[in-house]
Amino acid sequence: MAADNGGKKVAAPALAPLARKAAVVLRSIWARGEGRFALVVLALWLAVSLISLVWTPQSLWSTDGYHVWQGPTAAHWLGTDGTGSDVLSWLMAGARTNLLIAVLAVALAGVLGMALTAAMVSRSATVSGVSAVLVDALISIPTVLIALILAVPMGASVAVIVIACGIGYGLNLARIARPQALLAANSGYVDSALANGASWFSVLVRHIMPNTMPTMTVQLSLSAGTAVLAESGLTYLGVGVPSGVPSWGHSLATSVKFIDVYPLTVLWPGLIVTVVVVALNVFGDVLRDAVDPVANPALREVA
Amino acid sequence: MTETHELLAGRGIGRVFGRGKARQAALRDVDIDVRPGECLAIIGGSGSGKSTLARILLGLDRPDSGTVTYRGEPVDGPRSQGYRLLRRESGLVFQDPFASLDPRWRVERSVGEPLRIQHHGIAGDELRDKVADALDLVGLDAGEFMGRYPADLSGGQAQRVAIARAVVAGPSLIVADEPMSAIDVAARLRILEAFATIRKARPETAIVMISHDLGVVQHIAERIVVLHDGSVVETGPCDEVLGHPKSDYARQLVAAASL
Repeated sequence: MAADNGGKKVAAPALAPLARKAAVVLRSIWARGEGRFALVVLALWLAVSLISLVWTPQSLWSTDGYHVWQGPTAAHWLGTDGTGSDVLSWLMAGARTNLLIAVLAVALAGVLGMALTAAMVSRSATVSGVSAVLVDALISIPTVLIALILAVPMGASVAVIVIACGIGYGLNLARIARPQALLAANSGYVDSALANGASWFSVLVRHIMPNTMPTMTVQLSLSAGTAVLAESGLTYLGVGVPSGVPSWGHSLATSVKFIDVYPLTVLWPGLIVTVVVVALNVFGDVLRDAVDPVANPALREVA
Repeated sequence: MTETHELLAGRGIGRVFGRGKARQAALRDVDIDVRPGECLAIIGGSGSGKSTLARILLGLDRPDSGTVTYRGEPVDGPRSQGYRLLRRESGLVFQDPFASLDPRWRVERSVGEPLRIQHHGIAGDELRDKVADALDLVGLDAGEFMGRYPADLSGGQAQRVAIARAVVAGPSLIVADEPMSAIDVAARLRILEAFATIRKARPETAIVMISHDLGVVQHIAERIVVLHDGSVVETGPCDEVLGHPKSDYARQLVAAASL
């Protein structure tokens, strides 16, 4: 593809079908009730994360010793926590930390999962055999344990959550994607491409990996939800987000001890985590059906 | 017998699967020739070794004994000259058309794949024209079918798309492994027609058709090789094998032929 000077001219018509495809995908998601729910929740999550970078109702660091554990008021819509800080502001700021963790964990899991899947369908019996055994062995290590081990040298940090979740979910992804990858690797279209002289790598990139995408989409979306849950759990254990950094897990961890006395303060972060996790779980299913030309006839009609 | 006259030649091919008690000979000392531009049918029941033979002839599987040569060059592993020539000059058609087309690829992309693999620079109108020609050859309207996905094709249409992919790069050899056994009877005729058109339009292209059914190949094959339990039991011109089968097995096949 020699796009020297005419690069822009070539790119313009190529973008139009892509935009049309995106429109069809969005419409297909929107057409389903659960898709609409997921899309609205995720869009809100993204919007609040971005807004929190420039504006929150109150400063995160303004404390008020006279008004701790308050219920909702005009000044503090969701009340205040044990230091008198605004709960809503902390939850808004927490949205961006959780979004960052979910995105990075999914990216790492995706890269690791695809690399392992590729190794497991390798034509070298040694590589495929060793990687399959390795995945089965490593998958038995709980994500929490990986995080606890990582926290020894690294301390409590966002990186611990991202790496632990990325490794754990990446292994899971590889094991779940393997059957589909094998099916594609042994298919007639791969045989035909190889018989025409295609390299294994190009077959992997063009045929095998794209055909694992439906599974990957669902699994990665579930993983994003699990990463949000893991953030809460690991932060509560003290190996997740360090104190002072806003996150939903942080808001939960600081208020959960007083759940008997001030249940409302726990309710908000708990509710947000639940709604977001449900939205992510649903989103994967809907997204797979929408982006897969095999499952979505509307997508096949885009010229 | 001049070696150079044959396009593809197998000599004394043997292949064994399994070990110990499960050891089973799939092919025993098979000699086979494919001449340029001819249509050769390899006939045999399930487990007769015909698919294994096809893969070995194409260099996609290695025989335990014997040799394969293509245009007089040895086909012996990916580095051999014969293997390289075969990759450029052969096309494959499989039994199950849907498993042989990537469900995520449009017809245009699937049919054009061999061209893109072999001629790296090819793109745009040149590629489109060749894909359209290939679809035309198998009796599919290019304008209607190029943009379709396999999910929107019938079995017969999908198989003809797979045949178009096998001919698009102008191969010297097409190997079709049971191309009609997964297709309903009405659509089989269309596929036979497609092969007949290819025979007429590309007389230099040899076709090896593998089938368990003499009936479907009798109208198109010039020569027939009958395989039984991994051995060649009969070989000769189509009329001769059909009219005067010498072996018991071939007689049974003639009696059981459909169409």
